[in-house]
Amino acid sequence: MNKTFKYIGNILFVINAITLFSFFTHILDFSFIKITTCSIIVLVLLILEIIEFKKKDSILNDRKYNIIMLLVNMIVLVIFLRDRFDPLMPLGSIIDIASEYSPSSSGAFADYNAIFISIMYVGILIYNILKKDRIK
Amino acid sequence: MKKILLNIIFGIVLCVFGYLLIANILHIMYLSKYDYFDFDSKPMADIKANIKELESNIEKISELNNTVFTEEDLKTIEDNFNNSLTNIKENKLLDYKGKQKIYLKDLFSLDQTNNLSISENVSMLKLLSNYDSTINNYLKVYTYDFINSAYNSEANIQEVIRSYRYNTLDYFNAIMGEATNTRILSRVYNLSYYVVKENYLAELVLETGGASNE
Repeated sequence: MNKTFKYIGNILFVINAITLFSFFTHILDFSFIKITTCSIIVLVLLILEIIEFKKKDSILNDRKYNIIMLLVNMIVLVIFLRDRFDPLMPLGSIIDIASEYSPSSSGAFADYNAIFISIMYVGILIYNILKKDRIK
Repeated sequence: MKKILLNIIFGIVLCVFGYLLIANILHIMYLSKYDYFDFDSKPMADIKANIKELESNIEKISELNNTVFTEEDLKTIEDNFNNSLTNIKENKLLDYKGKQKIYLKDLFSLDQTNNLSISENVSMLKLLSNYDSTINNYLKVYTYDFINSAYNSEANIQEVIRSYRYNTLDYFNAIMGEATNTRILSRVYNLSYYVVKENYLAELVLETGGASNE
């Protein structure tokens, strides 16, 4: 079971990371800082995951870590997919008069979700770092 | 200590996940709500009949030969009417046929194709009042009518936009406007009202310009 969580969670994470980086081509000005912060966190986590992948006492074998990795990546994928298939709905964006009349220009997931996704990935990142120290 | 910290982090991540999950499920359920509207109903048939009448009136205006209007004014009038007719025909309401399910998304895209503005009517009336001073009586009514309908339409449109958005942070207090029959009818009658007004103006132009007396 843990192995299944590990593989599904990490595959989803790679898909989400690729989607997130590809959002950089069409992001709103006001969400640039948030989306950049979110992308940097994901990039660091991705690098850590790649380093950990081949280790025997890897954090990737921790059951709790794999559960949050799977759940978080599932909800992030849902958010990305909803945003992709409905460009009229900039997910989580704030009510902004300037952007209300140009829905086509605000296809990227924007404000609030970027904050929530960042919080979740920061949590995973800290969990990853702290747990790794304990294993050593 | 580290174990407690790890559990706190685990809990926070799960809480955020749970919140996003609930918000997404509620939002999907909310956007799946719909209402039926018959696009072959009388109000829609009236709109189509009025558009035909407007087209014929615009044609009559373009055929005006012996008129009191100067060439420049006549061109302005023709341009205004042609512009209005294009805006009317671009309205997505006219594309629907038969009984249809209408979702909030449809209302949203209906509003996006709504380019109707009666501000042009006010400027047209001002122009006509140069030729017939009695039109000044309508001018004030039209101006206030324009302001009133502009603000009402704005409120209507804003409500749908705000409802359609997925406002994660304040999701549970967000405005929940559904695609009800009344909301669709308000858009139908808005278009209807606009077409009727354009028709009335076109007839006024023909009357002032002399076509009715020919």
